[in-house]
Amino acid sequence: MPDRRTTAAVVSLAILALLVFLTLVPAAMAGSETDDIAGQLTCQCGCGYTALACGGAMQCDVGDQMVALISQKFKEGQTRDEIMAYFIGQYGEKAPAAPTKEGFNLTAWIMPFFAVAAGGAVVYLVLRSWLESHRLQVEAEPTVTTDLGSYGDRIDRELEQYG
Amino acid sequence: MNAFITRDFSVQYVAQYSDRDMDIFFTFAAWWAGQAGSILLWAWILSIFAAFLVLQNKAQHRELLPHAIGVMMAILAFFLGVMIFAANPFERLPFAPADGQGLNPMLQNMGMFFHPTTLYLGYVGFTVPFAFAIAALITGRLGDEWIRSTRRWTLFAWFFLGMGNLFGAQWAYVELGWGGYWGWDPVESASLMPWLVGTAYLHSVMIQQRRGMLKVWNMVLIILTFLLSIFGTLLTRSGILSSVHTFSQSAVGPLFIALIGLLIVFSFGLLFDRLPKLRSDNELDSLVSREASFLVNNLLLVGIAFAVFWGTVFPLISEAVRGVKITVGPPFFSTVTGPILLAMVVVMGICPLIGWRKATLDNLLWNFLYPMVGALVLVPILFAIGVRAPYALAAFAASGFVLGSLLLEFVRGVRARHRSSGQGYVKALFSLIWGNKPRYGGYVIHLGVILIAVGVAASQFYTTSVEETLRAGESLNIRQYTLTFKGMEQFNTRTRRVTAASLDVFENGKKIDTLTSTKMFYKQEENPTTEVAIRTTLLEDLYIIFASWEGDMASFKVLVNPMIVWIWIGGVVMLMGTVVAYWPDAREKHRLALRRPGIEREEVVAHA
Repeated sequence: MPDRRTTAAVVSLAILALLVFLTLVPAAMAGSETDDIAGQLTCQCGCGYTALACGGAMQCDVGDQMVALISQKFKEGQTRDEIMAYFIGQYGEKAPAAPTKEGFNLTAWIMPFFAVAAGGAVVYLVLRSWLESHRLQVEAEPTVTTDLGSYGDRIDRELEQYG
Repeated sequence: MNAFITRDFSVQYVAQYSDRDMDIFFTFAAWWAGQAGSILLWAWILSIFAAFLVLQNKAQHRELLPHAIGVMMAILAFFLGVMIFAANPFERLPFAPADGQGLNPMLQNMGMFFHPTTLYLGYVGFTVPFAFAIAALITGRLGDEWIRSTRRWTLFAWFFLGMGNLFGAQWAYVELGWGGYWGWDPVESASLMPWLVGTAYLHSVMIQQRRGMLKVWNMVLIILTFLLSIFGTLLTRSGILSSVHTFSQSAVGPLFIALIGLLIVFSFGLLFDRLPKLRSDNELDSLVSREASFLVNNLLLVGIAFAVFWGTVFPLISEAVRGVKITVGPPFFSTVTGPILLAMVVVMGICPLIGWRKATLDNLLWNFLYPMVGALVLVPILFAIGVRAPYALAAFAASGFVLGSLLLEFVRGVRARHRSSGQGYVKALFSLIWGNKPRYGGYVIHLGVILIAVGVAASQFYTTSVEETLRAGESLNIRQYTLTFKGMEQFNTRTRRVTAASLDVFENGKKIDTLTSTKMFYKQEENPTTEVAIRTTLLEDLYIIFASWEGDMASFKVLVNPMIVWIWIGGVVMLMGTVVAYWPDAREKHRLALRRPGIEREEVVAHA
């Protein structure tokens, strides 16, 4: 019979693995392939929204024409990549609603995650240094160890001390 | 205002944004419809806040207040300067036109009253904690006095900024032309960023108040929050980035950029100078503690804000570096912020389960068990009822985990209160919340955030749509609904010509409603605006767009948007939580004073 720590650790790991797995699997699109592509292209009316949002929901003529063209190209047998390439050829790099994942544009995609990772490393190092100085302080002036006991006891104590 | 009400069209701004046919409601709202009026609104709100602050602090914070007011007056002087030299709302025309140009039809919505005003209350509200932080840096009074004296102001600004975003989302949802409830438009992003960093600050100051730690970080956060508020104002009106919210290019952009540069140099220079005096009073006891979990929360919130900022300004960077214009739109923001937001939601569930100072890993894992099992059970249930998109499953599971942890926190808190006071469980619940307002108000706010997250996840992944052209008497089907086109009606009002198309709505064969979507043609406007028809239930919205018509045939786009109403309910729950957290709490003051010897002794004695 596994102890409760093992049980909790296994369930925790299972949940974390599930969440990581779910975020890594590409999201299935609820709409059609045409909607999918239209959601990846910027409407060329200048609104800044996607052709799907501007044409479909906002009734913009330019967006509607783009959606119709995408649909027509699918019917002609063109692939998703060919259709994207067509629009990039027509309107340049401002056609896709997100930067391409190559060259300088790659920095757009990498930088946010790099920043969070770098921030995480800094937080970890700061926490480690604080812990170390706390350990030295405790060694110099031994104090009563804080054993928080049960959750209920903690709630009682925290409500009194910290609110 | 007088110029608007008396239709004084010799004032250029009045002639630009109003006309004789406008009702009093929109005449009032036209004040902030343009750039010069928005800047006047900023300055007006700031003046009122400054006056109120002086009255509020007549007998307290005597050392900080003069410096704080000085900072606020400097910022007010900037806005007045902008009005005098670059965007004067009182500028007169050489002649008075017979009528004005009127308000853009897209702005003629109730949202025009609530969305800009609440956003500006938020933007301007953050001036107060920023001013007090600078005052603390100038005077060297670097304890938590400046935080305590501005806690309510910060909460006020944070709340109104959040509500401003929600009002904007609701407006954009019901009015075609704004790109849906969230379109990742630069101006929408601009109001989200200070809210995110402000949220990090609200959490982080708790550590300074309780443990005397993170003093430098809190300064950095409040400075960033204020800078982002100014950045938001800059984006809203300057036209430096393409946005549906920007109605004109203008000369105020360089002035705002100069202000931001000046604030960065001044604020961070002052902070750098005071670094030796900003040492923590305590050290961290354990990596497994609420302090550490708050730092993770801060990292993720600031990380999301950075991702949004980076995506917002990347087109400018690309143009500067490569000379190539690119678009950074919804697909980028959804991909980049999605995983960080999901991690943020999970951390929201973890934080309440970890104690201050030090928790044992053993107890922690055990405390996580119930919410985690709940989340794990939720996944196959959702899968069975048809939720298959992996991201949606992850979002719902994470939300379930947070709801479980919040529920656990309330249940165990009530049991603790019941045990210690002998109160019944219902009374114990209310006295628990009322006796610990900041803590439980915060949890109620978390609940609101989770409801919003659920609504967003469901509507992002499971919207269904259909487009059809119908003659009167013909029907279209979408999910369980059948919509039968009744016909069109045309009529004129004082300000516009209206074409209305009505449809009978049947659900599983039974008539449940009749909905009407309209196209409105305003004078002086080339294109019509469209008012959608919406039928809302707790499960989904039936959303009808009257697209166009020719002869007796009308084209419709119909969507079924799941769980949208939970976004608005979440907003109401956040409002309730904020009211609880905002309410004066004598016990909190007493606790803080006990925790920080030497501070507020008189107040403790008075309280006792």
